[in-house]
Amino acid sequence: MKREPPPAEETNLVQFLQTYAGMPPPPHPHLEQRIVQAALHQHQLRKRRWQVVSLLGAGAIATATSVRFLNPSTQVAQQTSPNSVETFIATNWQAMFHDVEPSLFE
Amino acid sequence: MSVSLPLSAATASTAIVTRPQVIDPDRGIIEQCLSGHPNGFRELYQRHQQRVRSLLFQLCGAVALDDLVQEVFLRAWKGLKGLKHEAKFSTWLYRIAWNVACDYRRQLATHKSRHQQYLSQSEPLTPGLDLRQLHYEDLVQRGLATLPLEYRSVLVMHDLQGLPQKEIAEILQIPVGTVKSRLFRARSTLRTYFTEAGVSL
Repeated sequence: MKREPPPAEETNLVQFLQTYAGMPPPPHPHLEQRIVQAALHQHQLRKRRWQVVSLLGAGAIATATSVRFLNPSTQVAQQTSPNSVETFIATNWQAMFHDVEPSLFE
Repeated sequence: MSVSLPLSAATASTAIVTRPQVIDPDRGIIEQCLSGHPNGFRELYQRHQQRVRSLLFQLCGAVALDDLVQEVFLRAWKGLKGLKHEAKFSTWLYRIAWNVACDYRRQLATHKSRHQQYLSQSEPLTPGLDLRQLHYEDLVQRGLATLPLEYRSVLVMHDLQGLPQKEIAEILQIPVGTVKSRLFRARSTLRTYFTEAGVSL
């Protein structure tokens, strides 16, 4: 795709402009290096920012998980009638002796 | 001098949304850049800096040229990831350059007196040339300065940078018809200016 040629009556004007438009001054000798360095610096900053964000995210997930699963569940005391406690103790006491091997007492 | 400018590369990267992808000679280098290859960006800079520099020089002058070129390439670097290849990289880069030029001129309008001070200190455009050449160069710069930025940019891109009208329309996001009419008006205004200054073309 090329530029459309100017109409015949404009050719002189366009040529005049092209001849005397002037050239931009040469760039600073270190401009290229400065731009590339700045771009790389930005790239590293962005990378580091992502690392920090992902670290923070992983930390948040780990904390949430540990709070959910590692926290001991609260035990709720149930009020029982004195009779049932008595039955429970008696049952356990007897069970202790019934479960043991008879040879141990001989 | 350091120029702080608001970021508008994002608008440039999302400029053309619904078009199919184009064949872009810079695509390979862009992919190198995105994969973190530092030389890719250097190559992109080397390929395009001359034209970007020349455009910015014609639109904004020589005072802050290095800073403006740096700003264009850093905005391009930031926006590279979002580039959709629906327009050529060079078109997209020109769009960023146009945005940077607009921002700079807006800033300049608020610090006009400071700019005048810089201008009075600045060197002649092409040092070491004869007086007639210098006179005409100065005349062209003054003539361009009389044009509104919209007309000036179309004239610079078409007549000095050699861009086709269709590409200029894409860069400036205006219809081709508007490019044609702005070009016509810019040329006739300049012709009148030069005639009044004693140069008949």
